[in-house]
Amino acid sequence: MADYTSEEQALDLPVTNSIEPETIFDLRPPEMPVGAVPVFDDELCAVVGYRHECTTGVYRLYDLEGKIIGMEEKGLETPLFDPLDLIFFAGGIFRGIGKGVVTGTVRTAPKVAALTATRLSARVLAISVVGAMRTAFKGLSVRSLKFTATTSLRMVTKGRYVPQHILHLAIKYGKRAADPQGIKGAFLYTTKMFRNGTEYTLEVVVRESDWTIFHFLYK
Amino acid sequence: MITTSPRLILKTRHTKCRSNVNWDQDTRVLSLLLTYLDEDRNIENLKLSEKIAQDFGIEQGDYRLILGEMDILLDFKKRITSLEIRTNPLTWQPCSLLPIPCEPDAVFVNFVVDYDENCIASYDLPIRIMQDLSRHELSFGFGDFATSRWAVIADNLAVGMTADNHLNEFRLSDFIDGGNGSTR
Repeated sequence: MADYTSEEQALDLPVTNSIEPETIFDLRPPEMPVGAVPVFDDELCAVVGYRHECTTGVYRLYDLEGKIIGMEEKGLETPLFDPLDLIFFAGGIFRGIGKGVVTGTVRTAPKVAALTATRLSARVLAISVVGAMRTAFKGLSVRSLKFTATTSLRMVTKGRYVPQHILHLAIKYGKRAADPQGIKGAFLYTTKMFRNGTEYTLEVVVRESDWTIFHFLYK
Repeated sequence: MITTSPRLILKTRHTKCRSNVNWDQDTRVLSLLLTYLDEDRNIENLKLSEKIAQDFGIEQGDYRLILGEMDILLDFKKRITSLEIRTNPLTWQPCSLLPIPCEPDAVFVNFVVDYDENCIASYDLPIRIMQDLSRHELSFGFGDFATSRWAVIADNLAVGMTADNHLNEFRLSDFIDGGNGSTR
């Protein structure tokens, strides 16, 4: 039996659109409060942050790394995420922040000046919050992951596909253990992941010398 | 998660099914891709929901069934299209496997399972892998029961069932060995 030679070729995946753009993958940092609602960005087709009601009427906004990047208070100001721009998705997921930021000022234009100003200022804040969320999201991809021929195929297979930023988060927050199949230098990361609000266990096996994904599976 | 293997319903298959086996030695992933040939496109064979989806060009989702470490992908008709398992050949138990009786039926396997809203079902089943070096066969066993009935899923893939129609074993033939990573 030939032993593992560490010669498995690592491939960079071409940047492509999500093959499951309507599917919401969500992997939360450990410090995220229970009950936080994911914020889904329609432009990036991904969850980019969270919104949590910390006390009645007061919401904290988090990025994917669990950092608080903004707050809003019900009733005192226009919500950062205008209910008009949001669609409640199954499991209580906010959608449409991309649409909201782009179209919000256009839609408010016919309204009275004072209201428009409030909304515009809120929009500026919203844009900064959304920007912070997107920055954290894109920051996850700075250290690019590589794939084997087998895992590249999994990344284009509906039902098995997991977005790259979720794999990054699994490596960041998952429980690390030696590879159960005994490959030296490879480690298994295990963590909870949600797909459309349903919880699964995500397993990612990665060769840490060059961050090549050897296997991933959620069940 | 469920810990007993799923019940199977077999349906006679008149079409050919070819399997392509790939053993990735470096990452220890064994995968089979199944392709159904001469598929009967006769519209009368489709269910109403499938016919409507086809007429309107609606893409129908796939199903996933996870049996322990084995990841099975099924198409919208719930036919197996892919099997994948990550396994270390050092854990394969060498043995003499009982031969499959001659000429078992060619079938489509329908797993009687409850899929969740994402069309995924998970079973927490230990898999025992046995290798018959002389017969070039690999067995993926899901229990300690006797196989009472065999059926053929694809050219080199058979399924063994218990007397009460539960999945007991997959049998992959023409597999040379884990080291070379190829089939005959």
